[in-house]
Amino acid sequence: MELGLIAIGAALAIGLSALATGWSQSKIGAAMAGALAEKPELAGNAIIMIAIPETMVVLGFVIGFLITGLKPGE
Amino acid sequence: MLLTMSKVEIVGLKSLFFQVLETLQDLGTLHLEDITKKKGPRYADLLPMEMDPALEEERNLLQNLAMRNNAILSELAPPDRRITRAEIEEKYKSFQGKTLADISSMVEEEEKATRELINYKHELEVELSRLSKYEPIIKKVYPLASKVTATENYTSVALLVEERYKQVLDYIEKELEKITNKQCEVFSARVDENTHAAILVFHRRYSEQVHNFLATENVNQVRLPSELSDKPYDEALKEIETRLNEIPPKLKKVREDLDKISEDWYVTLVALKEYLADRIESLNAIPKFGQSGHVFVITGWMPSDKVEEARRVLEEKFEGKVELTEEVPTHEELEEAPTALKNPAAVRPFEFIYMLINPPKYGHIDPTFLVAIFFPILFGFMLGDMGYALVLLGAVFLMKRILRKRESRSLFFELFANVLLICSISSFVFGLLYFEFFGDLLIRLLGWKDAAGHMVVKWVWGHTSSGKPWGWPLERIAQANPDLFKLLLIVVALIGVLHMGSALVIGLIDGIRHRDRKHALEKLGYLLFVLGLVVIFGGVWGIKSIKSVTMPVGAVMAVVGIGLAGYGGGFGGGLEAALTFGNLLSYARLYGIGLASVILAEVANELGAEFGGGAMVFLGVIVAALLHVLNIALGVLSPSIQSLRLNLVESFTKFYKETDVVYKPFKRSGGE
Repeated sequence: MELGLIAIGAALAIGLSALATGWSQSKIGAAMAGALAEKPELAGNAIIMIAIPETMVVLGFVIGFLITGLKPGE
Repeated sequence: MLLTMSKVEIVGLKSLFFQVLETLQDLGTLHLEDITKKKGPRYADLLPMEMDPALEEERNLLQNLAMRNNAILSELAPPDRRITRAEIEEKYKSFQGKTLADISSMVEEEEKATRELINYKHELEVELSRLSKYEPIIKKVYPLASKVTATENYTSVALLVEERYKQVLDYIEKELEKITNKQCEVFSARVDENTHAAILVFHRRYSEQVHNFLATENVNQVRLPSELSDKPYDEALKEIETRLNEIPPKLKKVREDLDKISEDWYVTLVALKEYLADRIESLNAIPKFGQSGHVFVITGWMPSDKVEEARRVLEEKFEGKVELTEEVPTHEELEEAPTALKNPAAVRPFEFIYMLINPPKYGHIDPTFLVAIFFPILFGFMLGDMGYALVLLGAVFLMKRILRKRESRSLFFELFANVLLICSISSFVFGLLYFEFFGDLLIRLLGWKDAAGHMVVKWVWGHTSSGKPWGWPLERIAQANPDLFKLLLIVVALIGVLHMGSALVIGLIDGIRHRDRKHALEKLGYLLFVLGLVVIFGGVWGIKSIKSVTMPVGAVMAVVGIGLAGYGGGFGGGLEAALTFGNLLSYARLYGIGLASVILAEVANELGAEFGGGAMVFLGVIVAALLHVLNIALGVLSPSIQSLRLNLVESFTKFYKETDVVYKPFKRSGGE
């Protein structure tokens, strides 16, 4: 495979998953900030909720790194 | 671990009720239960104890006394000498034999001794604060006012005008002459850089018209306190100044008198505050108790190792008229048992996690020890840098010092400071493994890099499949050696297996202990699935020679695992088992976040080095230091949150059962 395509593939894997994570966290973060203003005891849940979408970018990172390990022509 | 609790029932003669309550409060170990909410034949014949009008009146009186006592206490500064707890305790005990009338007359005596002084102090403070507001104006207007000699028929008004609008004074003077038929005089002068002051003197008969005119023109008039408003400006201002000079010494004298009173009364007031709060709390607890004929019944929970002591004290004090029995709790009652944590000092800081989520339910396993083991490992794996660890250690000591100085400390921050202390040690150890000191600073200085800019392995532990060596230092930016990246990914997956596996084992033990077969099978299924994955990937990436055996064995384990989880937890259980693979991959964040941190550190060093030699070295050091500071801040925040997340999401969800019933013993309140 061409080196350029490998790089684009890796960039898409991490970039799109990062965008998805950011978008989800913005929604969850805003909702949890509102919830915390009413019920500060939900702090633990807030951390969990906000951190859950990070799995997407972590998986994107793994895929991205695996793609960069490919050799042109494989 | 969780303290073992015993369910106890205390029965005694009603006549001894209040003495028993006082004794239990002194013991401070019983977690009271509300008997009115109890169901079942054991409680069917019991009536709830009621607050009769006499008790209600007593509570009102106690609340009134507490309010008055606290009001006096809030006005007194603590004496200079150190007050010991023993002094307060001694005083507290002296109240126990006293009647309410005695205490009431004591509070009256306190009030008598302090009321006049406190009122006088308040008056002086209010006056000082009020007159102080006039001080800056006085300073501006007084030099001008002293030049004005007003007669009985004349009155005056002072104005302050901004320097840039001083022309307005000419307009005012002209208008004033019109209104007063020239029976007026205007004195004006610049009093500071930005202000012009003016005093308008005019005949009293035009007072209303002049004031109306000034109001419509929106001019800034200097208003004097109401009691001085009739006086001419110079006199009024002189009086304000005199008062302002007189008040501070008077206030000082009153405060000294109050300090003398505090010296004699402070311990009594504090002890009385605690005593009254405890009496009120006792009365508030009454509706939780039961009664039947001539006896009262109190139920609750206490740590099992405290039961004998409580029984002995009640036996000795009430000579068999009050009995404490240890009950065998029913399954439903166990569900409501309170949770009390008791962990060794090294593990206790990690209890901070229960300030974010509810503590573990009684009868289940307290996972604090698991957090204490894995939190620092996960943190250190991400922020493995000796330099950063030392900076973090310094910051923790500073944080602890600041916390020590504060009067009201946050328990969360106190615990978290200790967590960070342990994490900084872990970070240092991992930093040693990666040989990172502010990124690759030490590597650069020692020249441990090859021509391509990659770290040279100093202690070879093995070779990757492509034949490249790996060992110490373990390079995290493994661009030149993709197999090393794979190896590190396997390491984080193994950390995940250990972390999640421990959680699943706890869940399995919990299921077996509670004879919950389905729960146990579900957890066993998850565990089998995870181990199946380990066997499969062990063959693919590890011992390739036995791949043909490990693949089918691992696959069977994984499938059986999903089956068992499905049997134990239904469709959701089976699905959850399969999703455990995703949980394992989630641990890749350990590597990802660590990589981001080390790359930023290396960028800081590279940027610093770009500034070259000579005088620019200094600038380079500053740039590098600033970037490192940013990286440390991110490097502490992110691993803390990610470690927390891995514990709460990947581990706790596998077994954790929380409760909101926390052990709150009925004890002396300390006045709160």
